[in-house]
This record gives sequence, structure tokens and C-alpha cells, in this order.
Amino acid sequence: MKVFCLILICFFVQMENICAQDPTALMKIIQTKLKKINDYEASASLKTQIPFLRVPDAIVNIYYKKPDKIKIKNKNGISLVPKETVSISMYSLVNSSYQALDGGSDKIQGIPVRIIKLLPADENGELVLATLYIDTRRMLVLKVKTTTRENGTNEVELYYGKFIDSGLPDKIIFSFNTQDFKLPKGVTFDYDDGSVKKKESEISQNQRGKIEITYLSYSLNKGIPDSIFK
Amino acid sequence: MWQLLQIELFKIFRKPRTYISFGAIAAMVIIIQIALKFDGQSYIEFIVGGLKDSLDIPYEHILNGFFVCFIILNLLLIHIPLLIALVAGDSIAGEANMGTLRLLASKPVSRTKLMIAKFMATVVYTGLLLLWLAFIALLLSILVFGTNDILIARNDALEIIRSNDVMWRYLAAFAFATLALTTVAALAFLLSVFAENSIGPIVSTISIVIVFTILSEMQIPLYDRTIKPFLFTSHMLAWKGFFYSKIDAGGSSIPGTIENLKAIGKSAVILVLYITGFVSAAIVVFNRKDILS
Amino acid sequence: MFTVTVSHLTKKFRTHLAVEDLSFTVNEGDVYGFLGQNGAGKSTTIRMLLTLVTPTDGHIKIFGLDLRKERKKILSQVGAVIEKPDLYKYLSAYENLSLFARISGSKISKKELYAQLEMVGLGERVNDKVKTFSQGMKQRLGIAVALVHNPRLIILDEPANGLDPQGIADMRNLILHLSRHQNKTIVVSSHLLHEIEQVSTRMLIIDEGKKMVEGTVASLLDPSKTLVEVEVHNPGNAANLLENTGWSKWLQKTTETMLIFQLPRESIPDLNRELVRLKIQVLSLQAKTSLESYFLSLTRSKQNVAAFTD
Repeated sequence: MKVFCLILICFFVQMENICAQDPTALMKIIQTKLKKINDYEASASLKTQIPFLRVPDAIVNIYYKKPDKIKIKNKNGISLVPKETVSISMYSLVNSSYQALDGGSDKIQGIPVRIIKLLPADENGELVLATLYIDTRRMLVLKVKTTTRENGTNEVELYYGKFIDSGLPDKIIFSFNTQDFKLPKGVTFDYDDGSVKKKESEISQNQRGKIEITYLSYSLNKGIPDSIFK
Repeated sequence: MWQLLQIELFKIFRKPRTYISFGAIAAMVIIIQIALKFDGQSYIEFIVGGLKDSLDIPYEHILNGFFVCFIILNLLLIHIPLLIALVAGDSIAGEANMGTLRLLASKPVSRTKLMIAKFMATVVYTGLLLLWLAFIALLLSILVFGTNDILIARNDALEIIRSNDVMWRYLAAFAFATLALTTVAALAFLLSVFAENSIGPIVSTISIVIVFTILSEMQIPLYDRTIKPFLFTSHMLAWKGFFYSKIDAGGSSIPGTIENLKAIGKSAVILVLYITGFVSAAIVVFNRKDILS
Repeated sequence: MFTVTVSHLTKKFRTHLAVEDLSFTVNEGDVYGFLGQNGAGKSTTIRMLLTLVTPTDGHIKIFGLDLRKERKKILSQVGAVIEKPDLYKYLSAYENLSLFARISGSKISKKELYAQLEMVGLGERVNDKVKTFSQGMKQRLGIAVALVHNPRLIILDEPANGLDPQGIADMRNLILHLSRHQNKTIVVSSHLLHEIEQVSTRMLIIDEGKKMVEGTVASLLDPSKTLVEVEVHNPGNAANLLENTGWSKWLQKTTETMLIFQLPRESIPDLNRELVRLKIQVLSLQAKTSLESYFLSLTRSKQNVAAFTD
């Protein structure tokens, strides 16, 4: 047992060393970890915080299938989820061809992290830059920042807890630009209750939208038919 | 009084023109329902505008009975005043034109009571018209399109209300719409006192409603805080307020809440004041009127 | 006992004086004729009796009660047909009658309503819509509506309007029947003298809102007060010639063309002889009852005005 523990400690120490020295190697480990997750179906609570959307919290089913299929389905109702949020797949991100650069270190959720910047090999692709904040002690990605040509910078912050053994987060917070969201031009015959309304400029200044997903349960690698994602 | 009301209702519901409104509502509602059944997505795309590029819009779920009913109310409650005026404007002027007013007014019934009975009958008609609208726009839509959460397009936001949080809002909205349309009825009723045939008050009522609606909707700062808060047409739209929820600190809407109940209450009070004013004026004028028709 | 007492009744519509200082009384059991040309103020007066028009001045008492204060009580015992008998066209005869019976505050059985319709000759058309009725049928239904609550006072405003000769005769018979056999007090207005003459016990002639004459028909038609209009060449001279005769006391008025006498009918030949004896050149001589003369003189003056303005 002692020997086993020692090996394990050595493994971690060694890994930290690898990470400290080589972002590409670190990414390999993350890749390997993510590969274990073929698919999942999760039940989650969805909280939408977008300035011009007034949506009550919802219980949703989230379906994921390797490499990049994600679907959020409202159990019995409607949710409006930004398209970009839905299409971000960590798996496809880390499995694409890129150049991994060291971006130094920081603290996320009070945890020291290594910052790895990924420069896509395809210079004309949608993704311009991705930044990963990796908890090297647990080998977990705590935050992903992606900058795309069309949609500016989006962030995903991942919180781990009871599902950590599967390498899956308890909570994810997406935050994204809503600057480019084109609001409908206003409805005719809307009720003006006389209260002072936020002007459009104020709304667009407050450009960040947030989607908070709190996972309630996962069902891992049970196989999900493709029809779900249609 | 009850007997007078019965008589007035009997007259209203024996008149063929009364049923034009019921038929017109059914026709309009069914036309909208057919259009949405076959091309609801286009309409939803129109409502969400450019947001369809940024958001994943579940069209098939959005197009449900509750949503269809909301669209119908949105489109129709602007036009129903015309149908209300058709009957309310006829209330006195129609009798003057027919020559029955002199017979009625020479009966041992006070003119005030006669007017109250006539107005109450108009209110019952308005209520029944809305009940019919509720039946055909809500129940028929639910039957055809099913139920789900409802997407509400507001001036500055899109709002979603959970399906189990919708029905009471509709009840409140229909009750409020009855109040709003009663205001139109009261206006037509007042104008009806001055005329000897019903075309005048019907056209005048519609004209006033149109002009006021334009002023209410112009969104010109000069009018916004001066005339607009006093126009009954601005407050007639308060039924929509029942579909606007409060939001929590995080920006999520809170089920079972109304964003600005106080404003709706204020609108209701203003409409009640208008109704009282119109009806009182009608009674005073009618009591002083020499019936020469 | 007076059923209707009208004192100093005046109605002014803006600048137009429709009725001016009108006073008259209707006795219980009277068929009171209200005679005047179109626009004379008959309808306005009748509408004031029915509270449709508010008087500018004056008082109306019906059944001894003040009409302003006891409106409901009074009107529950009044039935009226005002001008055309307009009723709800989209309702049947029965529905119209039942509706007005209820508004009049009387509880009348279905059977009685049918009987009422039978009485006015609409028994076959009970359930037909009024819009399918002829003018005469509408008039009869109007009468049924006026009578349905068994009123003490019946007011008929131009009841013969739009009726054919048979209809007019039926209406006349109905009025006489109601008066003689049901002891109703009836106020009936018309612009036609003979209609009023045939049914009325008392009458009033009204012109330009003013009372011209009121009295029993017998007195107004009194042959001892026959009006004789003598058209002569020089009325002034003729009047002078008559001054010293006994005929001057019968001379009522001298106009530019006429001498007007009021005298017993049997004296007309003697007057004629006297005029010849005095060598007064008579162009024409017309004898009239005072009622007819009043009425025609009114009509004539109107026609003259019309001739001037045409």
C-alpha cells in the first residue's frame, strides 16, 4: 500500500514537473482524461442571465457525445440558450491541432492554475485563441476562455465537487458577449407602465450574458443515439 | 333594474348585428390559427428578429396554444373596440333612429335607470364577447397547438413564462381586457346619447380610439410624460402587464410574480375613472335631453 | 275632475319658441282634440306631457299630480302612440308587446297579451317580425302597446298619419270605443279638422305655439255664433253705412277687404238683404262655424306667407 502511495505521489510530482515545463505534455494528459468520456446524459438546473432575456430557472437534460455533440433539452418547457455556448466542446478543442504556449500561472476559485494558450493551426478558422486555466494538481480545467472571430470572447468556468471522480463538473458558468445579439426592433402596442426603462444603450453596455448550469446527476458512457442531437 | 337589464339584453341578443362581432372574432382567430399552424416558425422568427442568429430557438416548442393565444390577443385587442362600438354606439342612437326611444322614455322608468340598464347590458355583451374570445383563442388554440411555456416579446426583452404559470395570467388578462373594452363601450355609449343614428357614434368612437392609440404609440418624449399617461388607450394595454414577471438579482424571471402590479392597478383605476366619467356624462346628458326623434 | 292641467307651458328650443304660455285642461272622460298645423307645437306639447321634452316654463299636472315630481306614478297610467308607431323591427309583435308591458310595470299573462293582439286584429301575425308589417299593422300594434297596461289616459299623436281611409275609420271607431265603453280619457292630436271634429268632445286649436281657441266642440260649432265674412268693395265705407243700423253690434272686425260678422246662422239672409238695401257692393259672402273659420283663417294666413316667400 505504502509503495502504491509512493508511486502515486511520484506520478503527481512528475506530472507537475512535466506540466511546469511543457504545455503540450500537459494538454496530452487533459486529452487523455477527456477521451474517457464518450457520452453523457445529465440532468441539470439552468439559470439564464442575459440582459434582455427574462427566463425562469429550468431543469434541463444535457446530452453530450464525442467529439462535439451537445444538446440542451428542456424537460418540459422552453429555454433559450446561446448557440455558441452549446457548440463549445472541450473535447474537440483539445483534440484540434494547435500550438500550446505557456501563459504563466494564476488563481481560479482560489486554486493555483497554469495558464495554457492554444493557438489554432488553422489561421483562417473561427477560433482565434483559446486559453485554458488548468488545476495541475487535480488535472482539471477550471476555466476556458475562447476568442472567436464572430462572437468575441466567451468564458466557461467549471466548478468541481461530487462528480470529480468522473472528471465532470458540478457547475458550469458560461459568460459571453451579448453585444452582437440583435434585439428585435421592439413590439408594437407594448404596455408602458410608466416606470423608467433602461435605454437601449445601457442594455448594450451591460454586454455580458451568463448561463449557469448546475449538474444534478450524470449518466456516463451509456451510449446516446444521434437522433437526440437533431 | 334586473328586469330592465333583462329587457336590454333581450334586445341586444335578438339583434342580428350583435352576432357580427362573434362571427368576426371567430373568423379572425381561426385565420390566425391556420396561418400559425402552417407557418408559425416565420412568425416566431419575426418576433425574435436577429436573436435567432445568437440563440438556439426551439420553434416547435414555442409554437403552442398559450403562445398562439397571446399573439391573437396582441393582434385583436386593438381591433375589438370596433366590435364593441358597433353595439354600444347603437345603444341610444339606434333606438332614436328606430323611433323606439320616445316610446321607451315615456314609460314609467327613470332615465337614469334606463341608462344604467343599457350600459350594464353593453358590459355584459363586452364580457361575453371576451369570453367567446377566450374560448376560441385560448381553448381552441390549446386543443390545436397543445401547451408549453410561453414566449413573450416585449419592447426591451424576450420573456419566458412556464406553462404552469400561465393560466392565471390569462384569467387576469381577460378580466383586465373586459375593463379596457368596457371603457370603449362607455365612450361609444356617451357618444350614442348625442346622435340620432348609430353610424355617428360608432365612427366617432373608432376615430377617437385610433387617434389616442397613435398618440399612445408614437413614443415622442413630448407626449410620453404629458398626454400619454392620461389617454385611456395607453392603459388599455395593461393586460400585457400580467405576462411580465419580476426578475431576481441574477436576472432570471421569478414564476408567479408580476413585474409591476402597481402600474396595472393604476391603469385599472384610470380606466374605471374613465368609465365612470363617460357613463355619468351620458346619464346627465340623457336626463337633460329633449327627445325629439 | 281634471285629468290633465297644463298651465302657462312654454318651450323654447334655442331661439325658436315652440310653445308659448299654453294653458288648457282635459277633463276625465274627454276625447280632447288637439288641432293645429304641422309645426304648430302640438307634438312638442304632447312630448312635454310624456316627459320626453322638458318645459322651459310652466306646469303640468296629470291625475292631479305634478308631472315633474310624480313622473313614474303618472306615466304608469298613461299610454301613448307618438307620431309613427315605431317598434323593434327585429322583434315579433308578441315580443314587442310583452317587452313594453314589462317596462310599463304591469304583469300581464301571455294569454292576455295574445288577446290584446287579437283585439287590434293582429291575432294571425303574433309571431311575425314587425319589419314585415304594413304601416296600418304597425299602427295597430302601436295602439296595442299603448293600451297593454290598461292606462287611464291615452295620448295619440297624429294617429291617422300614413293610414288608408279604412285604417283612419278603424282608428276613429277605436277612439270612440275606448272613450264610450272603457271610459278612457284620450288626448288626440291632428292637423285635420274633420278627424278631430268627429271624435272629440273638447278641443284646442294651437298655432305657432299659442292657444287660439279652446272649448267644447258643441260650443265651437255653435250655429248661434256663425262667422260671416263679407267681401266688399270698400269695407270702411260699408261699415259707416251699417253704423246706424242694428247690424253694427254683430260686426266683429273690418279688414281691408272684408267685414266680419258673428251672428246666428238664421240671420244671414236678413244681413244679406240689409247690405243690398244699403247699396253695399258685395263681392262674396261666406258663412262658417267659428271653429272652421279659426282653423281656416290660420291656414290661410300660412298659405299667404307661403305665397309670398315662394
